[in-house]
Amino acid sequence: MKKLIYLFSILLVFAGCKKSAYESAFGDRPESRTANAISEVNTKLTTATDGWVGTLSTQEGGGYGFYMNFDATTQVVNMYADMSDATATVLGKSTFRVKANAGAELIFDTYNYISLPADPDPSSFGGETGAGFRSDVEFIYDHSTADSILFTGKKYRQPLVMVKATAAQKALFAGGGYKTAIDKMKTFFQTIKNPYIDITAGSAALKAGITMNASNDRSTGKRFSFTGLAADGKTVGSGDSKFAFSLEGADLLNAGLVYEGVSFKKIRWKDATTLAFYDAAGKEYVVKSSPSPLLPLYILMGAGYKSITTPNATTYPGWGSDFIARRATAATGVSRWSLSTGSLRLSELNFTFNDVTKKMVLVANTPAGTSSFSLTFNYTYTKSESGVFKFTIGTLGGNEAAIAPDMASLLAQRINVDNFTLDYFTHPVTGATLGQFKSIEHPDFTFTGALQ
Amino acid sequence: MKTYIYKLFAFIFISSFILSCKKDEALDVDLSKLNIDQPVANTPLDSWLTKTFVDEYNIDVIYRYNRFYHGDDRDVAAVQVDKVEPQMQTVLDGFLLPYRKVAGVAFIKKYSPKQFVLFGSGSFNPDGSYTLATAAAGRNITIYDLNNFDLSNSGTIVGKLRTIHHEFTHILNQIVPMPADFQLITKSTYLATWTTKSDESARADGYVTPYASSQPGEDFAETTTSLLVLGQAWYDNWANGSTTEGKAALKAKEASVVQYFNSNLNIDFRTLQREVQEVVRKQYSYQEASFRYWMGQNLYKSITINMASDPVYASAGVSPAFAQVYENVRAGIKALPYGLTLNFITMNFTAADKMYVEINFSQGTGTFLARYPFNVALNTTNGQTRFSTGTAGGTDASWVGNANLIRPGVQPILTYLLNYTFVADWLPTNINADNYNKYGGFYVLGTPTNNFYGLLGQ
Repeated sequence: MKKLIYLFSILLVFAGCKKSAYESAFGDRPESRTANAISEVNTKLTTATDGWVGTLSTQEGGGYGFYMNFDATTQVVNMYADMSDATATVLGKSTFRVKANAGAELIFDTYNYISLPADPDPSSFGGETGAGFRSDVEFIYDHSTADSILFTGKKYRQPLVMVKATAAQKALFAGGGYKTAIDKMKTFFQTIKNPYIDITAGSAALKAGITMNASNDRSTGKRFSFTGLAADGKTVGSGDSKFAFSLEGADLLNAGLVYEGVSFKKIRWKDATTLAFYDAAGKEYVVKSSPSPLLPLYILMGAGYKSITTPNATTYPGWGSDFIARRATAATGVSRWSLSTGSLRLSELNFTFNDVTKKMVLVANTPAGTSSFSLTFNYTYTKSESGVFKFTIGTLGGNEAAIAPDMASLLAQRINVDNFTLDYFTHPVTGATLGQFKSIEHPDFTFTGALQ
Repeated sequence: MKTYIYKLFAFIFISSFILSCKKDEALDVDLSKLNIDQPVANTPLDSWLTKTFVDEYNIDVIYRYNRFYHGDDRDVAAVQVDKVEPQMQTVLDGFLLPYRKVAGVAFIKKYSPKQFVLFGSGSFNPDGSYTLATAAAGRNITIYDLNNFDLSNSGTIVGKLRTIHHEFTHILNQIVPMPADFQLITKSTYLATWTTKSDESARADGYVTPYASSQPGEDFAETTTSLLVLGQAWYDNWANGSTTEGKAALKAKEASVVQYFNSNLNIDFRTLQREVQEVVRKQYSYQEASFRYWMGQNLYKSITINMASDPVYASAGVSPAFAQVYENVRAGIKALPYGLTLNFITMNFTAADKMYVEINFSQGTGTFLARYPFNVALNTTNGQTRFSTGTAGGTDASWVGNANLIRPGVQPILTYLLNYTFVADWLPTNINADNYNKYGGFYVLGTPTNNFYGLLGQ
C-alpha cells in the first residue's frame, strides 16, 4: 500500500509540467517583429537615394506608372505619374507613413497623384461615383529584392511594384523626360496605320493588330489590346492588358497581355523609331504597319466598327453607276414631300450594325430647310461565314411607310432584296479608310461611307 | 479499501496531469509598440495645429489618412495638405473664437469636439449623394470634401462653416436636449426621404433646407446654422418667401432656437450670431451676407431715420455731416409759416431701383406725409449707389400738395441724396447685438464718416 502511495507521489511529480520561459515560434517578440517589419520597409524605401520607378494597376481602370522619392525624416513623398501632362511634369508632394497592419503597410496618407484613381469623386479624375477606379492608397508589404519592393493594395488587391531608379532615370524624370517619353509613344500609335506584330502560334503565322488607349477612361483607358484572325482564319482572337508608361516605353501589368498563348510583358524602343513588344521569355516582336486593317470588314462590322455613313453628295469615290443613278431617283422622290420649312432633301445615309443582335438600322437624313428630319428603317440581317449579308426590312413607321415608295430605287429594289458584301475602300484623295457595300446581284450597285 | 485508494490516487494523478500542464500565462506584449502608427509631425503645419488646437482646446486634428475614421465600406480620398490650414483657420475664426467670446473659455474648451478628422473627398452614399461631415459621440467632427475647399470662394468657406456649426449643434443637443416644442412645430411633415424634396417645397413647409425636413434633430441643426452662418437677412428673406404657415413655422423655430441658446445653454444667441456674422461678412466678404445684396433683392423695404426718439443714435453715434442735414431739414420745416414739426424721415424702397423719401410731420395734433420720388442705381457687387430724381408715385396730397408745401424745408436732404455716390452697408458699424441686422444705411463713397442709417423694415 505504501509503495503504491510512493509510486503515485513520484508519478505526480512527473505529471507536473516544467513551465519554461515563453518561446516564440518566430524567434522574436511580436512587438519587435512589427517594429522590424516597419523599419525594414521604411529603410528600404527611404535609402534609395535616386527614388523608385513604380507601376500600379487599378481594379476597374487601367494601369499607371510612377516615379517616387521617399524622405525618412519628414515622411514626404515626391512623385510624378503618367495620368496627364501635368502629373508627368509637375512634382507632386505629399506625405506617407508605414504602419503595422498584417505586417507593414505603406500609406500615401495625404493627397497625391496616386490618390487620383482612388478618389471616389468623379469630378477629380473620372471613374465611378463613390469608388473612382477602385484603387488603393494603402499597400500591404509583400516582399522585396535587392532592387525592388512589392506591395499589394489593401482593399482592391492590386500590385504596386517598385524598382529602384538609377541616377540617370532620376535626372530624366526631374527634367520632364517622362512626358517626352509618353508623348513619343502616343505619337507613334497616332501616326502609324494599322499597327500589328507577327506571331507564330503552332504552325500558323498570325498577325495581331494593336490598339493603344492612353485615355483615363475607366473601362477602356490605359490598356493595350490585340485583335486578329485566329489560326482557323475565321474566329477573332483578342487579348488586352493594363499598362503603365515608363521612360523606356511601357509595361504591361500583372500577367501581361496574353494573346494566342504568348504572354507579352513590355514595350520598348528598339531604336529611335522602331517599337517592339517583348514576351515573358524576352522574345522580340517588332511593331509593323499594315496598309489596310487586319481583319476583314465583315467581321468587324457591328463589333469593332459600328456604322457606315454615306456623305451628302451625288457622287463619291467607290459609288457605282447604278447607285449614283438610284440615289438621284430617290432624292427626287423624297423632295416631293415638304415641311413648313421647305421640301425634304435626301442627305446622309447612316447604316448602324449590331453584330450580336444581327440588327442594322438605316437612318436616312432628310432635312427640310433648316429643320432636321430623318427616316429610320429597321433591318435584321444574316451573315454567311464568308461574309455575305442579306438584309430584311422590319415594320415601317408612319413617315417611313409614306415615303418608302419614293425611295424604292434604293430600298425595295436593292438594299431590301440583294445580297451584299462589305469591304474596305481607300479614299483616293484623303487616304481615309471607308466602308463599302457591294451588291452581288448588281455589281454596279456599290457605295461607300465613313467608317466609325 | 485498497481499490478505493487506488482509484483516488489515479484520479488525483490524472487531474494533476491535466491541470498542471495548462499554461495560462499571458504573453506580456507591449501594445504601445505592437501597433505602431505615429506619423512624423514635424512640419510647420503640425506645430501650428499643436499650438492652436491641441494646446489651447485639446483638439486633435487628424489629417493624415486613416481608413478607420471613415469606415471600410466606403472609399474616401485623403486630404491635400495645403487645404488643412485654411480649413482649420476657418474652424478657429468662424466657430471656436465666436463661441469662446460669447459662451466663455471654459465652455468652449470643455464642449468643443476633441477630434477633427479631415478627408479630401466626400463620403459617398449609395444613392450617389455624399456626406459633407459627421459628428459622433459629442466628441468628433469628421469633415469631408476638403479638396474642393477654396479660400478665394467665400461660398465654399461658408458651406464648410455651415457644416461645422451644423455638427456642433448636434453636439450641443447631445449635452442639453433640444426643446420639445421645436419638434412639434412642423411635426406632420418630417420625411426621411428628404432627397426627393425640393428647396421650394421645403421652404413652403417651413424648413430652411430639404435636409432639415428629414427629422427634428437635423431641422434644429439646420435652423441654427442658417441663423448663425447665413445670417438673419437670409433667414428673414427665406421666411418671407414661404407660405403663411411656413413663415409662421420658420419664425417659431427661430424663437425656439434663440430660447434654447439663451435659457438652456446660457449663451446669448444674438451675440453669437453677431460674432459669426462679423466673420462671414468682414473676413470672408460673403456676398449674400452683405447689405448691398439684400438691398438688391429688395428684402428691406424701408429705412426709418428718427433722430429725435430712436435711442440708437445716442448709443451708436451719428455722422456730423448727416446730423447737420437732418437738423437743417428739421429747422427748415419748423421755419415754414405753418407751425409744422418734423417727426421722422423714411426711405421707402418700393423696388430694388425705386425709392421715395417720406417726411412724416405734424401740425398740431394732425400728422401728415410728404413724398419725394427717387430712382436707385445700386451695384450689388460693390454696393455703390446713385439716387436720382424719380417720378411721383401718385397725385394725392402726399405726392403733390404736401410735397410742394414743405419742399423748401426738405430740400437739404433731397440735395444731399442727389449729390453723392453712396455705398450701401450694414451701419452703424458699432451696433450692439440686439440691434444687429436691424439697422442699415449708406455712406459717401470714399468718406465712410459721412453716412446715414436707420431702422430697417421688411
